[in-house]
Order: sequence, then structure tokens, then C-alpha cells
Amino acid sequence: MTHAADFRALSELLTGEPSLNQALADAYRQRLSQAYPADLPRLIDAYRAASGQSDPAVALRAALDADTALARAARETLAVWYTSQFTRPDGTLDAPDTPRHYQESLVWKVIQAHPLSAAPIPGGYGYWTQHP
Amino acid sequence: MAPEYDVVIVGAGVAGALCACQIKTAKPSARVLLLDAGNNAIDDDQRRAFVDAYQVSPVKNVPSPYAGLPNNSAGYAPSSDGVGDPVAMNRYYVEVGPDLFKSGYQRMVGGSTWAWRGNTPRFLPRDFQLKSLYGVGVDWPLSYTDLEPYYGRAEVELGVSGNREEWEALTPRSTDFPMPGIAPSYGDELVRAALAPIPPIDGTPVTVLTTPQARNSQMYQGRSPCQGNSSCIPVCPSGAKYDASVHVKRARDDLDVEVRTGCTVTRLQPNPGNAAPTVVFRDWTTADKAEQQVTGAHLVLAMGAVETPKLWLLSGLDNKSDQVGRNLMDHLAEEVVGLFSRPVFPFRGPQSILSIETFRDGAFRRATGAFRMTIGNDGWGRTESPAAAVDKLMWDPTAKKIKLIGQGLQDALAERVTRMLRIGYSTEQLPDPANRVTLSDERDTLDVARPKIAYRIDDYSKRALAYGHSVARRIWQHLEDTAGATEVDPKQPLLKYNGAGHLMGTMRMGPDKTTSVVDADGRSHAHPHLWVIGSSVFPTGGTANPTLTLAALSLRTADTLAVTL
Repeated sequence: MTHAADFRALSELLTGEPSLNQALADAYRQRLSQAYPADLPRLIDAYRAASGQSDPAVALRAALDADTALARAARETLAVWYTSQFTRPDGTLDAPDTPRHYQESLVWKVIQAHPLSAAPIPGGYGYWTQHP
Repeated sequence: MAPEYDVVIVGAGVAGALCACQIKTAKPSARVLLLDAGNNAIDDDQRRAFVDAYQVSPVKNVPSPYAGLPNNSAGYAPSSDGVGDPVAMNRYYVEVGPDLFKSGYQRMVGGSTWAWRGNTPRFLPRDFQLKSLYGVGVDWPLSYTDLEPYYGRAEVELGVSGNREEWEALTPRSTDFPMPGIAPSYGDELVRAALAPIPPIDGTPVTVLTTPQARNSQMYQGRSPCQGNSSCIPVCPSGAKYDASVHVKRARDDLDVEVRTGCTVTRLQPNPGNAAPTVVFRDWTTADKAEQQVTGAHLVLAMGAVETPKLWLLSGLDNKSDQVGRNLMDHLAEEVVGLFSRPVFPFRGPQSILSIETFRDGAFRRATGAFRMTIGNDGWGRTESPAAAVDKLMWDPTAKKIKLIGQGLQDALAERVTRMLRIGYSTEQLPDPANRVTLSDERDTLDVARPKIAYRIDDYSKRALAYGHSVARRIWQHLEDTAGATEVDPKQPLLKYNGAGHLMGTMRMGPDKTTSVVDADGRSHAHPHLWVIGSSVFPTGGTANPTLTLAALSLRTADTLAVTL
């Protein structure tokens, strides 16, 4: 498996989403790699090791619990999928790189809303009066 | 030398743009110039660019869609905003305390209406008589009845959606709203039903109303009905929410008003006799940014409650009343949040639709400020964003360990955020002459003095914040007792506050030239060809969002001015 495929598979395990977009995964992997050049590859390695276990999620959790740097990389991986932005090691924010990526943020789908400033389609006046 | 224009208006926000349209409509032959410090376009491409900028901004604060405008980023005409970001605000304000003035404004073509929520309740009739009725503040030099016809006209100009039967008793009306009220959200109706049986609080009924909003509930004047983008603050992607680009466009394209942008006024040069001051400005889009000047038979200042007194003071215009810059006011805002028992599905539709208006007046106003309450449709607002909820659920910051991943995280997030509800309260602040805008020794990038702001939250306002919390807390208690609400916070009043972006006072109107700057028509007591419009002329601030009232006053001033031409 390649880094690209493994990062996507790792992301699917972390987020619980069954089939994440590969192009989006590539873009996020690139951004995270710049901010976490040592820890992101280690996180992908940890996923590879866990994926061979009988319960990959439990195995990955054990690896993250044993290594705070790995846990931090996992946190930022979750953050970028959920919000299209994450926090760099120095505490600054790595902002959504494109409006399209912002609109792909998972958080809105999970809470059955839509990205703020990007109304649902179909939608139209009054859609908000109904149960989503 | 004869003036080049009949009227020069400085500031192309809602007050200035509306005034320009009204004067030209009443006097089509009038030569009107509208000057603005901003240089943004007001077309669909510009709106899309603002939305894009917002979406890729790491911090979704009020200035985020507009931060890249050259006048903002280069500091030619700095915009500012205090919400959660006092440092950014203080790049422009020079604050001397003791408390922080937290509200900013958008210094751009169309002004702060680009970023407002769009709420347009009227002032209550009793708001105009605070001194007579409660012995505090000051009375306005006009009454609700005087202003009522202009309220109706302003509602037509801005395009206000509202339900007359809900509002007739509070704010008597001679006209219908132009459009039916905005449809409440799915969650709003759950909350309204849960609050229906709540007993009165301190004898005051808790009545839930549909807030009048300058947001289309149907096609109106070529703009679509609200599409529910849920980003009213800081930018409406569809243009269904009114902003002053509507009237800047109408002035420029339909009424032949000359609009000049990128022109920051640096001073007003007094002229002999009653002649209006000459307007001196720099067009910062030119290479040398050299000073230019222009004259009008009448000059209208529509630059808001910070820029207007700043310009007046640095120009050495008459200030024998010593009122210029004083009595700066805002509405201090806070919220009590909690989790409703069932999903209310926030972040779908306008950020707030329903309100509670019954605490906007009462005998308590002798000692305690009144407040206006809103039921949010935007989760926990400033208390916890959805992104913050993600982090809270997945990360243990103490142990530096992951808490939840996978489907467990999704389920916990949905369970928490879909039940988020906030009850906000926005409180009255009395005019205090010590709360004032003066000139700082520090200068901006166009070598103009920056505004110095002295600001103190008095006991009247602190009691309003405490009472607002008390009422919101008791409403939540009802929801806890009867509807299974949980995680109510804060349980005790913190007396923290956010700015509401409602900058008022500093150029107060009144009948007496020794105690006020302008008369009830907005005309300067000292300079009869100089006029001021906007919420800077408000003698007191009441509890209503100020835009509709300042729009009504601007129409009234425009009518009076047009008659003199």
C-alpha cells in the first residue's frame, strides 16, 4: 500500500466515514505533512501495524494512547477532516485551503446542517422549518 | 465660489446611501455627491469573493470576509471588530478603559450592514421618554408618534419581514410590514411550544415573537427570499438580507448620484458664515494619495458614532456644548446556553428568528437597564462552535490523548451539537458623558488621528446584565424542569459582555444647543448647513437594534434637507 492509500484508510478509521475522497485525502495529507513532517508518517506507520491486527481500531487506540505525539497527529487529522483546518505545532491555525474544501468539512454532515454560508441544495426559502 | 454640489454626503452606509436616494427622489435636480472611505465593489462577484474569503478564513469573526480589502489590510480606513478579538480591534482604537469597548464597524461601501444580522425591531414608544418616565438618561426631542411614519417608510426601503398582529401592541403601526415574518425553524417551534406554559417571571409574561428582520421572506425589489445560508453575520451569500449596497446601487445607477469611493476624509475646513465646511480627503487609490477637496451647499456626515465625532473634533468645528464624542453607547450582550432534550438542529436557516420583548420595559428601568432577548438558531453561538465541540469530544487536553474516534465520535457530536440552544440578552446602556471618543496622539496610515475611546460599564448596565442572566436562567430552569434540558451555563451571572456592534451616541440630538450637538432634524445647532445622520445622534440607546431607527431618522433628515434646496 502507498502512503496515499494508507492515509485515506487511516482517516476512514479515525472518522468512521466508509469512503473518503482520495483527492481530498491527498490534499490533507500534504498539508499535515508540512506541519507534522515526522509524526504524520509515524502515524501512518502505526495505522499499517494496527491494520494487520484482529481489531485495527483497538490496536490503533493502544498505539495512540502510548505516544502523545502520535495522538496529537491523530487529533489534527481528525480536525482537518471535520473542519478543513487544523492547528500546527506552534499553535497557529492552518486554514481551509479552498472554499470547496471548507464545504467538504464533515462536521456539518454529522450534525445534519450545511456548511455556514453554503446553503443546502435543494433548499430554498423555509427548508429550515422541516426536520432535516 | 459657488459650491460644486448641493449636498455632499460622507459615508455610504445605510444612513448615507438612504439619505442620498431620498434627497434625489425629492429633488431630482439636486447635485449630490456620496463619498466613502471604502473601495469595494457592490456587485455579485464582490459578494462571492467575500463569501470565499469567509470560507477560507481560519477565524470566522465579523471582519473575516472583508479583512483583505486594501483599506482594511493597509490601514487606510481600518475596519475593526471587538468580538473575541480585542487585539485586532485595538489596531485602530486607542482604548484607555477602564472597560473595553468591544464593538467595531465595517468602514466600506455599504458599511456595517454587510455584516449585520438584519434584526429591525422599532424602539418602544417609552424608549423616547426615559428621563420623564424613569428619571434616568434623557428624553429624545421627538416622540414615537413623530417617527412612526418614517419607521413605516424605512421598513419599505430596507424590506422588512414581520407579523403585524404580533407587534401592534408593542409598537403601534400605521402600515403593514412589507413582507410576512420569517418562518421560524424546526427547533424554534419546539422551543416555543416548551415555553408556552411558562408562568410570568417577576410578573412579566415570557412571550415569544417573530423578530422583524430586513431579510426577505419572499422576492422583494429584485432580491430573492432568504436561502438559509446561516451566515447572516458576517455575510449573506444570497443578498436576501438587506445591506446598504441596495441603496448605493440605486443612488448611483438609477438616481444619478455621484458616488466616489476610496476617499477617506481627513478633515473638514470651516468656512465663513453659515457655509458648510469644505471636505478635504485623500483618494488612497491614487499614487500620491494627495489631498483633494470638494464643497457642497450642505454637508451630511454619515460615518458612524466613532468616525463622525473624530472628524468633527480634529477639524475644530464648533463644540461649545462639549457634547461631541460623548455618551458613546452599545448594547452589552450575553447568553445562557444549554442542551435541549431533543435535537433542535441548529445552523439551518437564519441565525435567530424568535425573540422575547417583554423585558424591554418596566418600572425596573429606574434602577436597572432593560434588555431584549433572542432565541438562537445557531447552536451555542460564541460559547462553543461546532469545531470546538469536535475537539472537546475527541481530545483530552490534560492527558493529551484521543477520547473518541470513528462512529462513536460522530454519534457524540450529533447528540451534542444538534441539541445546542442559546438564549441571548442584549442590554440597555445609559448615556454617560465620560464614555467618549476623542483624538489619540497616534495616527493611522493616512496620517489621521486615531480615535481614543474611554469607556466604563456603570452599575445600571451591570444590573441589566445580572437581571438578563437571571431571567434567561429562569427560562432555562423551566426547560430543565419540564423539557429535560441539561448543561445550562453559566449558572451564575458573570457580568461578562460582548459588544453588539450597536455604536450609538457621540453626536446626540436635542432641543438645546448647550446640551446637544444636532437638533431633532439632525441639523447642527452651530453650523446650519451641516447635518449628522446615523445612530450617533441617538440621545439614548433603548434595547432595539439601532438600524431601523437610524434609517427612519435619516429619511426624516433627508426630507427636511431636501425642502431647503
